[in-house]
Amino acid sequence: MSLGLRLLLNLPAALLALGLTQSSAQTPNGPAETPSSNGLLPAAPAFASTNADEWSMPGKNTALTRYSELADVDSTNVKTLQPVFTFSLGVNRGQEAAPLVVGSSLYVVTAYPNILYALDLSKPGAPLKWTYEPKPSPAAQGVACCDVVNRGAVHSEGRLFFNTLDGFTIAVDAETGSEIWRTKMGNIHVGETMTMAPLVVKDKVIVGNSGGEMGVRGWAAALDVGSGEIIWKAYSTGPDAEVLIGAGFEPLYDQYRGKDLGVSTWPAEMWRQGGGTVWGWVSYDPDLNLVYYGTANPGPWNADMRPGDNLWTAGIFARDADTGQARWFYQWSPHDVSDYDGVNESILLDIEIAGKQRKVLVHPDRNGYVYMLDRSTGELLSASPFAFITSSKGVDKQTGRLVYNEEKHPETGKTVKDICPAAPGAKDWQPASFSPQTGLLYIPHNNLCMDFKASHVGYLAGTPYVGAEVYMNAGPGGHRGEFSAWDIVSGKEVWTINERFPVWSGALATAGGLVFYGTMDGWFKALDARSGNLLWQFKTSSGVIGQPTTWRGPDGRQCVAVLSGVGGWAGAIVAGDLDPRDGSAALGFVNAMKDLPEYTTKGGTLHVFAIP
Amino acid sequence: MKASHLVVPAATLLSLLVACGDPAPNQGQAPPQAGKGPEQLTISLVEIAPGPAEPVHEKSEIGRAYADDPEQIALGRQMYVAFNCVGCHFNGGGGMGPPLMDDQWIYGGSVENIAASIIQGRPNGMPSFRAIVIGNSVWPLAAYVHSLSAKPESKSQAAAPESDMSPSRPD
Repeated sequence: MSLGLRLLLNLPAALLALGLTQSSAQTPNGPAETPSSNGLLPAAPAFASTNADEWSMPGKNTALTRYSELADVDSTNVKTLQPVFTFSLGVNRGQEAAPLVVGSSLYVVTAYPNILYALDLSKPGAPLKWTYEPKPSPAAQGVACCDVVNRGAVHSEGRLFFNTLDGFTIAVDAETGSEIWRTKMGNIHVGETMTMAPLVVKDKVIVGNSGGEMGVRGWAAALDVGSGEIIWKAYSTGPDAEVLIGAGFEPLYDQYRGKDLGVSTWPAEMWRQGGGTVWGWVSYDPDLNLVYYGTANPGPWNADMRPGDNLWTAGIFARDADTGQARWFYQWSPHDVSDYDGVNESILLDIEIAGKQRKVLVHPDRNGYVYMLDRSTGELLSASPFAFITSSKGVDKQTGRLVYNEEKHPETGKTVKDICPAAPGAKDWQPASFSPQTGLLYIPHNNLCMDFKASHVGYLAGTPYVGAEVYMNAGPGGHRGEFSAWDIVSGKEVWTINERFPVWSGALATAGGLVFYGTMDGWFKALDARSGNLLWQFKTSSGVIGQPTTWRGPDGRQCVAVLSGVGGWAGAIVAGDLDPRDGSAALGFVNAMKDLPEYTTKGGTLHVFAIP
Repeated sequence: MKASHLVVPAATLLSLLVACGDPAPNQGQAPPQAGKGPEQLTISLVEIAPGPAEPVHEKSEIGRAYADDPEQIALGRQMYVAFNCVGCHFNGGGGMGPPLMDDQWIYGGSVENIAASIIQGRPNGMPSFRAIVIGNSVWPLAAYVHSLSAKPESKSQAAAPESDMSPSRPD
């Protein structure tokens, strides 16, 4: 019996009668085998166990596993998952946030103008409890590179924390919706915005900035949860004193040893507009007391203008949570030439390697490799390609350095074709999920290549600092996105689902043996976590680029939710009404997404599902 | 190259334009009248006004002349790159900023409206370029931007730079 026929027969008649069909791209590619030759699965650290009934931070826990222990919804009953309610966010831009649930309240923050809503899950239809409108400056919309998104709020001890596009970090009382404090962190006059979801670490809120395409100098900061006062701030470029590199810095590799490398690895003064912004995911190990986050691309995109390794961009910092002092650093892409921001999630896991227990982090990078580093020391343990790569040849285990393919190195005035991955990388911000049940990493990602022509650019504060004309295209195979199951131990793909568009949503894995993700043409899907078989899907009102979450509601039922509302960098052609005739628009993404408007319109809706 | 990343190209253009107060004459034509600068014109962003009259909208003689002048449009393209307009609007398709090559003009599509938007900025993200694009130097830039939507059905504009990039290729 063919795989396709077997899948069809598994669908209930009711679904068939409704006209829901499996798309032909849905059959997972690859053998559905269980992972790891030695039989030992990677594990989530003990501190990754949080209250299963709630979802209080986008990553579920500070290890960022995005895994729920809830198993009420499982592979046998997910086919009966139904909408419980929907809620219009009132904003039709890209919705990347994660709906949070604590107690009987759901909290969600929208794209600009960053409205924070609280819904009462204890009443039918989840009515509004309160609304908080931060009223960010409309001018901020003009300096946000990649749609006016927001990746979510975080809840801790009765407070919600989130960032606004115009650069404020805000604390709101979760019960009443009243503002507790707001601290101005960013300056839109120099093109600095904020889009990332904060992380709460003990008594501090960790935040970072956006603006690497605007010549903004990157930083991460810790604010006091009670007062909003800045406790520490670490820049991503410049002198050691400002990067908080001092006596406690113990990098393993030679290229990170020396004084003021954040200055000397740049032509004179260019570190001031050097990028390295901190707009992605932050993780935290409470046993080591280390905060981990990645830094974004160096600016400008035209790398010829900035010879040198451009520290400390496109890499990962491990910092003391209390002081911000750097413990170690590792650079995914030294002297980045392709806009491979290093800000993707670093998921903290425990693994046995060669008979020894190791504390590691696993990080699928823009440059196309899934990295495993020792999170205590920053030692490179492995780097395995999870996408088609032409821009580099591999990672040198001795030096830790990415080995570039010089043939794909952009040059000023010259067009270099077929650089893979394209600038959004093999994977952009869209976060992966780890299931301790299967031991697999579930990676939503892209299949894109680009043609790139570098040009000289003059820095004009508050305007883009890029210097490149880019046209992206689908990668080999013609599909522009994939959702893959990845064996961390062997460094190999177990199965993958090809999707028409980049899979720009987050992933969610559950103890019910399921993984969830959404597509840019609007489908929200549940797959069997072991086999990748599609078990359920629902067509929402607009492309899905949000982070799915799950919780147990006041009525005792497990609910699964996601935001629909296409946009983000990949969906800018729809969210921004861009013109498809100019493929270079949206930093070249439009070229690869000209057909998106045929599949989705703008939107902004929260969808909540449960088994009836 | 110590300061090569600073605004050398834009400053060069700016000094040329400011020194030339009145735009240089086109070959073989009488010099255009030195018309009102963009700040002196009375323009409207909208097409409706209460009462029987149309909204007042003064036309710029220079602006209108440049809008039809390939040399000025080409100069405008250089300004468009030098002042980083291309960074937000790309080759007319948009990005951080809206597309300029279609026929949807949020704040008016006449060359005067375009000049005013550049000089004053606009509420949802367009910065005010008044300090950088000085006086009548806005007109070549406005002429170029205006030209981007001149032929809505055509794929490329006369003033777009030659590109050795093939933007689309079969998958």
